Amino acid sequence: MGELPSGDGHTGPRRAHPGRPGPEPGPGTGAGTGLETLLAAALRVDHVDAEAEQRAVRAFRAARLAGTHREARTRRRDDWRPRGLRGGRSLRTTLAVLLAGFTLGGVAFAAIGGPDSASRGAGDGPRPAGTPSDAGPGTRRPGAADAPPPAASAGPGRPEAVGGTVVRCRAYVRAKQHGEGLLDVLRQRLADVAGGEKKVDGYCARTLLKAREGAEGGREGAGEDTTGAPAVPDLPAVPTAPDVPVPVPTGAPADPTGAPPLPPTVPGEDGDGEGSGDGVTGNLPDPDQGQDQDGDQARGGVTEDVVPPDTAVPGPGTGGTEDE
Amino acid sequence: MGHGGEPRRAQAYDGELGAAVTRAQEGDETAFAVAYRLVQPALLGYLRGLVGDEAEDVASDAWLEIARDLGRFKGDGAGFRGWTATIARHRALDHLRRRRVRPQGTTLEQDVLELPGPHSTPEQVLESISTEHALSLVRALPRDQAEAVLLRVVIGLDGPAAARVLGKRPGAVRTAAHRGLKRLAGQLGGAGVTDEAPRTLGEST
Repeated sequence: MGELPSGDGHTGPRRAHPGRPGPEPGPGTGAGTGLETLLAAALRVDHVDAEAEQRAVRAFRAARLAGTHREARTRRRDDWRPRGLRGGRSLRTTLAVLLAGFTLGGVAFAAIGGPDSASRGAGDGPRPAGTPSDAGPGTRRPGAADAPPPAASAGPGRPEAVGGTVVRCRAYVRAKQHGEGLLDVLRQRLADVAGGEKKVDGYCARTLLKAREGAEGGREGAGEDTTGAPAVPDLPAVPTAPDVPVPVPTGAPADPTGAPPLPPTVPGEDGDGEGSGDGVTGNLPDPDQGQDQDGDQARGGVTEDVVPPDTAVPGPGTGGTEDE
Repeated sequence: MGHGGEPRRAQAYDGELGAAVTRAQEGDETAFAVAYRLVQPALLGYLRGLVGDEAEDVASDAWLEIARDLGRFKGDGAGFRGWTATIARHRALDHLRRRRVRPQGTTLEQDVLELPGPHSTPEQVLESISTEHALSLVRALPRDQAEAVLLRVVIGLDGPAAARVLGKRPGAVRTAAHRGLKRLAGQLGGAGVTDEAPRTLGEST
């Protein structure tokens, strides 16, 4: 092939031959390879002009004689060593690593629930549900940014800042509004507490309302209306206090399996003082909370199903939080 | 289209080229001739895409500089291709500036455009493209696309190397090459091009 006259169009096939001194356009580039091969074959000059070659060789000799090659200094533009030797990590790689690091950090931060809940000993830490299992980077990522802010905002003014369910509910509502990916994760987590995914909306509505009320120091949150609100579909305030305090089954410290039945009322004792305090701080309710519904055991109402004890419930009257 | 990564840099004869360059740097004249023969066909093709008929003159200037600065070069065979392409390109741009000639458009091009193109025979599978035809089409591309295509296809540079030669961002060069190849594919006739359909050229890396 090397003997073909230069530059003429040939109708015959002129694909690149292996023996031909010419670079191939690139193996395995997929799309366009055929075209590239054709173009390369068409554009490369087959023949070598002997005279031109001699001129070049003469120039080479002259430079060699002058010692130019020996003394030559490599400028930046002359350094074409493979990147591994020179470059190291590209900027993109560095940024990707940093982003991953921040993401994981955000996840950890969200898991802890922020400084408030941490200081309160809020019980998200030892949560059996296994925060780490939720913290898949894929689903968590959009939420990681969300979780810290709610925790943070919950901090300053909020008396209870439970950082657990309240924060989660808040994030859930936000996620619903924005259609974020964390929505499903939150819904599942809250479903445990609320007694089912369908109940999450109502549960969150009540929870957040209680939180709000609690902030105002309303002790009476303590469940007046049991009727209230399970039906509450969405957050915006439900007038009827959806405090459905779930009284802890007497005796049994809110065993995880036992769903505390919906109490007709029970507001009576608020054991919020201590009870809630415990409830909030500890994951496992203390035995002596037997009576105390609101504080910690109030899992937002209609929990007929499994109520994980460690859900740091934001006590309905929030009494608890204030107390601590 | 590949990511312009490492696999593309390795051409069939790069090992031989790298060895020849090293020996030439040590004074081996024959090795220099070997390197010349390995590099010149692509270099000349590249220059023809840039400056058309004056490619040989520009190539001569380039080889003078390559021969003189040979001691400065550091790298392997693929790197040598990039280095020489850069030198050739600078000479070409100087040439164009001196001549105040636009890089595209020659009479050759006009003549070729009047010829019936491959799409006039739709059933014919395109097995080759004539040099004149290819050259005219490439030179009719927007400048950035033409250069990106030439460096990729003729010199065989990967994305990063081509970007370095052109002094542009790799992403921009990749995009320009994509677009240029896509346009060429369309001009050469969809059915006529072997293997690939033009649509695949639109893929981003």
